[in-house]
Amino acid sequence: MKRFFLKSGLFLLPLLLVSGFTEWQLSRMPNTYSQKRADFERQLSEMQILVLGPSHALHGIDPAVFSHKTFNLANASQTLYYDKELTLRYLDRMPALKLVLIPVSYNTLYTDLADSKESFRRWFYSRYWGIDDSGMAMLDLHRYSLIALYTPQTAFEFLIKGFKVDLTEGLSPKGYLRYDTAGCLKNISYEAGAKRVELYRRMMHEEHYQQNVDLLTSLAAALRQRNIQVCFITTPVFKTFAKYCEPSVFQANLDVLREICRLHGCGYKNYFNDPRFTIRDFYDNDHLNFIGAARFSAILDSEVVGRVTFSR
Amino acid sequence: MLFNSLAFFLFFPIVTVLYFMLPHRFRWLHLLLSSCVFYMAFIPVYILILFFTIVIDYIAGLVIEHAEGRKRKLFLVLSLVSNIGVLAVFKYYNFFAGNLNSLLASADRSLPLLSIALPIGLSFHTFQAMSYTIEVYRGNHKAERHFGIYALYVMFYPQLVAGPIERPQNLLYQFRQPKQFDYDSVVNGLKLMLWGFFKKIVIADRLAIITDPIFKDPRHHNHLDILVAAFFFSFQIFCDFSGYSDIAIGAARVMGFRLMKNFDRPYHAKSIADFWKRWHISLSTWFRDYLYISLGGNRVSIPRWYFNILIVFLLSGFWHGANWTFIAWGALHGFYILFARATQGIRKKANDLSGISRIPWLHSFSQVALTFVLVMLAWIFFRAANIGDAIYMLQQIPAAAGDVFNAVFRQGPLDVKSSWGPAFLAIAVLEAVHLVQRKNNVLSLINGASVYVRWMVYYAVILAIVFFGIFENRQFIYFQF
Repeated sequence: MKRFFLKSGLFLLPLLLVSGFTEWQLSRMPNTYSQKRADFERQLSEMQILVLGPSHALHGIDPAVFSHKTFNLANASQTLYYDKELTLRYLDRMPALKLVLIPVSYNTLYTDLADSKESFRRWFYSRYWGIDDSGMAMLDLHRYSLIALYTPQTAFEFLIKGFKVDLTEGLSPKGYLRYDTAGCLKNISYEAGAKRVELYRRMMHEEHYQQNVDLLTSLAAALRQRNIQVCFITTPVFKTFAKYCEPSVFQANLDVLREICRLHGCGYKNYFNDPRFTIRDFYDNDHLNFIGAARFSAILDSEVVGRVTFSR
Repeated sequence: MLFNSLAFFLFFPIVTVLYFMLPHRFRWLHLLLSSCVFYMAFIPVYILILFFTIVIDYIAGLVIEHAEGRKRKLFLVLSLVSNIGVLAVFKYYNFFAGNLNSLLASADRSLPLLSIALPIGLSFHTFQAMSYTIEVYRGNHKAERHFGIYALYVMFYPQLVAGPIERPQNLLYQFRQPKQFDYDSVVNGLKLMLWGFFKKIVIADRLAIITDPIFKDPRHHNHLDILVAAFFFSFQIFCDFSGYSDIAIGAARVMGFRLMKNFDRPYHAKSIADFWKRWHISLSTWFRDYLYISLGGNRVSIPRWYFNILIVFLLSGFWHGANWTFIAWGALHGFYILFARATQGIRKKANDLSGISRIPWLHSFSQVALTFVLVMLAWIFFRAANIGDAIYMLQQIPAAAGDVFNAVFRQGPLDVKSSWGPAFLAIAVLEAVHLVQRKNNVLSLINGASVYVRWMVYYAVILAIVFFGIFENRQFIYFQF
C-alpha cells in the first residue's frame, strides 16, 4: 500500500502543482462579477438609481450619463431571480435609493438561468455574490474550483498568457460594460437577427413564466413598500431582431407589466422599436453599442429619471 | 451517485481505503452501508423497494433449497412474480395503462397513470436477484445464509445501477474471500476506470451534444444530420455503457473483486449473432441461460426455435424500456438473426460465386461493415422518441448515404458541421485502441512499456479528459433501465 501511495503521489504531484498554481492565480484575477461587487458595495450608501437586468442593460445603460448617482448592476444573462436576490440583499444598505430600473427583455419572463446554455453563470453568482439557486449541488466541482468555473481550456489559455488577461476590460466603475462599434455592420443582418430570436426561443420555456411573474411582482412590491420608484423598461432592438419576435410573447410581456404597474404603482417605458435608434447605435441586432448606450441613457434620464423626485 | 461526479471522486477513495483498513469480518458491512449511501444519492426512499426484493429473494433462496417437488417450483414462481411485479408496477404499468387507455378511448373509461420516477437501475438489480433464485432452484448454487452478504450481492455499489448483471456463482463467494491490498489489481483497476471515464466523458458526452437535438426534433434537421446522428449515437451508446462497465469493473477490481466482462469490441462483430456475443454480455447471457434455454433453445422444431429467438429479442427490447421503440429495436434484432439463419445457405453460395470469400480481409471487412450498418439502423429505434420519428429518420438515410457517396466519389458538396470533426477524431481514437486490442491486450502492452511511456499515456488520457471532456454530470443512458 505504501508503494502505491508513494507512486501515486509522485505521479499526481506535477498535476497538483500546476492546478494549484492555476487556482491561486485565477483567484487573484478580478472579473466582471468580483469587480462589480467591489464597485457596487463601495457606492451603496450614496446610490440613488439602480439598474438591473441582462446584457441589454449591461451594455445599453451608462450610469455616467445620468443626472443622479446610478449603478448598473446588470450582467450577461442575468435573470429576474438574480435581479431580486441582489437587490433585496443590499436594500437596507442603500438609504438614498429612489429608483430602480428593471429591464424586461423579450425572453425575460420565460427564462431561467439554470435551464439555459449560460447556466455556468450561476456558479459565478454563487462564488462572487454568495447567491445559490435551489438546483445547485453542494458537491459540484464548480463550487470549489476556478479551473472548473472558467473551464480547463480557458484556464490553460490564461496560464499560457501568464495570467496577464484583463477580464474587466471596458467595465466602468459604475457597472456599465462598453460595447464598441467595431464590427457592428457584420453583426447586424436579418439572418443574424433570426438566429438570435431562435436562440432566445430555445431558452424560453412556458413553465418559467409564472415563476418569473411572481419574482417581478414581489420585487416591485418590496421596493414600492419602501417608497422606491420602479420603472420597467423594454430596451431598444434593431428591426432585424424585432421582425422575428413573436407578437404574442411581446403582448404577454406588456400585459403582465401593465398589471404589475397597476397593482404597485410602477412605471413602464417601451423602447423596443424606438425610431430614434439607428443602425449606428447597435452593436448587434439586440444590443446597443456605446453610442446607442449614451443616447438611450440620456433618453432614460430625461423621460424616466427626470420625473422622479430626489430629495437631498 | 453518478460515477462522473465530484461526489463519487470523494466516495470512491474513502470507501476503498476504509475497506482495506477494516478487518475482513467487517468489510461486508462496510461495503453494504457504502452501497446504500451510493444508491440513496439518487432517490433515498427507493432503497425500500430494493430492500423488499432483497428480503423476498433471500427468503425464497432458503425455502427453495429446502423444498422439494412442486413446492420448489412454486417458491421460485412466487419469487419471480414478486420481482417482476415490482418491475411491472414501477416500469411497465404506465406503458400498459397508456396503451389500454388509447384502445379504450371511445369507451369513456381510462386507467389512472402513476406519476412515479423509475427507480435507478431497477431492471439490473432485479435480474441479478432473479439469477440468484433461479440458480438456487436449479441446484447450481447453495442458498446464502448470511442476509448481509446476500444483500451485498444485490447491492454491491459498482454494479448496482447498470451492471454487469452478475451471477451468484461468480460474485457471492468473493465477498467471503479475505482480500489483501494487491498493487497490480489496484493499478489495473484504476487504469480501467480511467479508460471508462475517457469513453464516457470525452466520447459519449461529446457525441450526445450532437445527437440529442437531432433525435429530439429530427424533422428540423437535414438527412445528413440524421445519418450522422445515427452513426454517432452508435458510438455514444457504446462509450456510455461500456464506459460505465469499465468504471464498475475497475472500481471492483481495485478492491480485489472480479466482475464479468460486459463488452468485447461489439462493432467488430461479423454478424448480428456475433454482435450479441460481444454487446452487453451479462444481459445476453442472462437471457440465454434463463429464458432461451428454458424455452428449449435450439433443441426444438425449427418454427419453435425461431419463435424462441424472437421472444428472447422482444423481451430483451422490452427489458430496456416501456416503449414501443424498444420493442421495435428488439424485434428488429430478432428479425436480423432469423433472416441470417434462413439465408445462411444462399449467402454462402453468393459469397463463393462472387469470390469475396477468397479474399479474407475483404470478406471480414464487408461482414463487419454490414453488421455495423444493421446495428446502427436498429439504434435509431432505440433512441428515437417514438416509432414515427424512427421511421422518418430511417427514410432519410438513403438520401444521406447518396450525399456521402457523391462527396466521396464525385467530389460533390457535403454540409459538414464543424462540431463533427472532434467527434470523428474521438471515435478514431477509440477504434484505434480496438484495432490494437484485436491481437494484443492493451493493458498488457501498457504495463510492459517503460515507466516514462506508461506515465505519458496516463497523463495524455487524464489531460484529454480534463480538456476535451464534457463536465455536465450527464447521466449514463443505461441508468434509466
